[in-house]
Amino acid sequence: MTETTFAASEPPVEVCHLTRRFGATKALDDVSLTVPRGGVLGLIGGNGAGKTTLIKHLLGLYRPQSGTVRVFGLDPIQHPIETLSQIGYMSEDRDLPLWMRVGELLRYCQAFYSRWDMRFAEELRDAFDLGPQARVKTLSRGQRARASLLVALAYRPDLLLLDEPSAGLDPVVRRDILGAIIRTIADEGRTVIFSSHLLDEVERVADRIAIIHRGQIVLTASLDELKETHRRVTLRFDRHFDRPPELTGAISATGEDCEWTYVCSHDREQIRIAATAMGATIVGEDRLTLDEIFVSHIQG
Amino acid sequence: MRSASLALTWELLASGGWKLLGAVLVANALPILILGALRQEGVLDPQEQAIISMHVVSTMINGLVFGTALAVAAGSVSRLYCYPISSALITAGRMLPAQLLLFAEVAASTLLLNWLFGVNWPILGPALFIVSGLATFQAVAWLTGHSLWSLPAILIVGGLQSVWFVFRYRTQFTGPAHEWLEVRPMEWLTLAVFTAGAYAVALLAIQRDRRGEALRTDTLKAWLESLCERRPALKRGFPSPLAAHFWAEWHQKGVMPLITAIGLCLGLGIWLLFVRQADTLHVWVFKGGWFLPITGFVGALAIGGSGLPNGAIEMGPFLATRPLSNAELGRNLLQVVARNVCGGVILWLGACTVVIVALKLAGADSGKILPVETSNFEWWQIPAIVFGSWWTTSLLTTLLSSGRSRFVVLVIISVSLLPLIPTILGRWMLSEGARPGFRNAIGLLASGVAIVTTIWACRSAWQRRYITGTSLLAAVALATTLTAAGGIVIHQTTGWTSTSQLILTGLAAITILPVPGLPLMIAWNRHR
Repeated sequence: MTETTFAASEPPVEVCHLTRRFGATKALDDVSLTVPRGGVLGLIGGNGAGKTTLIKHLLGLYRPQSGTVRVFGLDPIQHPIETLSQIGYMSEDRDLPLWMRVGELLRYCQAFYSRWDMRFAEELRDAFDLGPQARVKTLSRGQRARASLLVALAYRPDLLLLDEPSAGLDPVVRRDILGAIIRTIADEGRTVIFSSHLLDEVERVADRIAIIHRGQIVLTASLDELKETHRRVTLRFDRHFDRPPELTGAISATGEDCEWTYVCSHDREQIRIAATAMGATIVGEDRLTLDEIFVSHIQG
Repeated sequence: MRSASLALTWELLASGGWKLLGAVLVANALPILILGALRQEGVLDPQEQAIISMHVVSTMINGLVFGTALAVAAGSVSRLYCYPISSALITAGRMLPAQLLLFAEVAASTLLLNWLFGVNWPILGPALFIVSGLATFQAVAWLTGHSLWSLPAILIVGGLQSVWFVFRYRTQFTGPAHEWLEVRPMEWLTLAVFTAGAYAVALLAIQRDRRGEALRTDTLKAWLESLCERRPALKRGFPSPLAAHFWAEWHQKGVMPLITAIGLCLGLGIWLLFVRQADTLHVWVFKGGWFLPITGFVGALAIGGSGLPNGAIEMGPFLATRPLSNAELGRNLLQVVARNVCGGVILWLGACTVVIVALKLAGADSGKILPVETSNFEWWQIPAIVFGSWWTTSLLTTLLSSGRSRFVVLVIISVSLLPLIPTILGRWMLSEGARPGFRNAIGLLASGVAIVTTIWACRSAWQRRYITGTSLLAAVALATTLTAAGGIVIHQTTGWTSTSQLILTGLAAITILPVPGLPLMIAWNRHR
């Protein structure tokens, strides 16, 4: 068998026109996404939006029905060893061999990764308060989540994929440890992709955001860019409208009569010009939280 | 639904569906096949000892297969704990509908066999016994939960009940057999006590489990676990990923030697308690080898699963994301299968050797190595047992490794139904003279399918680089050697024919099919 070398110059993740159906349901619909090296990408979306399906394609657990997936320039299905040895993965359902003891789990996983750092693993084990003699099946859901995170981190992977990492973790671990670990990894020049429902957590940790809705990536941008371009403006018109007048860059609108509030994804100057052209006056303007941006995009 | 009990019954039937239908087909395929073949040969005598024994065995297999399907359909009982219903209703709701269905299935199967073959097998007694057995199984399973005691408890209780059932047909193990035509008052009472006791135990078990209490055997369990620890090299780690993965796989799936050892001990115990005749021990230990292919079938259910906590055969993300190639995962699993089969066979052959030596040292009459005179056990049966074990274990493991339950059920039903075709067609559509030729044609067709499937699997695995050139050559060489060796044996015994040679080639092909088949199925499971 030919050995394929790991291309350091390739982006960690490159997805082109990926489509996946489960029966009549389109789980992913022509998804394209490139994740540059370094930094933290927060993948956010509602239930059934396609986050886990996308992550499983990156791991080679799903075969693309159309489109391509490249991880460090390689097809994860054709090259499982080369890709999986660079990826740390924490699955949504915390699947671990239940019969193993925590100490055994560490030794077992160590065998697969040349860069496994046993000292780091032991530090994490202590921080997560996991006894080496404890059997995985006797661990609580939260402890199992910690064990799962531990084995995903201990070899300092180049790409860390965390599927709903916060589920089951207590607030202390979630805020202090998970956040710190993710930031440390990103600061070391490695890449983290994590999906979450907890948008305040994403906001705290992520550099870039991808919003996925009904199998489509509806938005990818850096967090700063996202906050800069998304704002809520209230316009007052000189006549009544039954429906909100069209405003360039508006994602959603609420209001009545001559006062309408828009969530827009253009910068301030463009909105001002558009409002003036419509004969409206800006009477209110404020920035949006990530939560509000997300809701406006998926309810648009 | 008008009531919780109706909802529980509906749920069992709705989730059972195809599983229950498949179980009926699988449970009845073998007796129909054997009885059909015997009738075609004109040697079917319902009063014959072997036919009565077959009734006993097929009733138990029927109960096992359909009972397992019912248990799978019902799912975990703990799911029901959060509903506002009493533990007594949960117990009854889980046990009663299953028992009624099982009674109906066993009775209907026996009626069908009686109608098809005129064997006049009794219906009431065996059906009542199987129903009582299911109740006991459920009670013991719930009482022991997922603990270490589960398997031994089920084996011991099931073994004792089986002995009671066997004694309805004979007065001693080696004595002449007769049908269990009438259920006597004492037998009614015994079955009622079994069932009522099972209900009481099941209720206590569910009440305890619902309170979140475990079986209080922690100290003993810890001691036994320390004895059973198989954790080498954990202080210094594993030398390679493959060594680590083999350790993990074997730890979960090395079941066949254990089951064989338990079976041998159980057989010896029964012999010591009830028989104590040297000739019988000689026959039992050799003929007991035929349990190995069945053990392989049971073992493959563990080996082919991917170890998910919910028992699903779909590969879980932890295993699927190990940085191992599909070829390596396949090779590893093949080694686990081989070690299981070898372990079982070595234990069985070892037991045979010990018995022969012990009999010789004790100066028993049985001077021969094989019990040919007492039970017609001849030399050819030894390789048949070894290959039978390999075929059931490796082929079912390969099938289950696909992780696609519908595909697995479809293949099992198809393979179970295939032998019925010549029986049914031979009975109603063909003349006496045409039947042997038709049977040969079916045999040739099956061999052809096996050969073509193996060639396709080798080609696909080679193209996808799941199998190395050396492995492929070794597999082909093994198949060729087996075909040639089998041909020579046939030539020297019954006479060589092109038909027998093709059937031999088909058998050799399925012997090596897991070599390319396992990585292909694993890849199909892993990359969905």
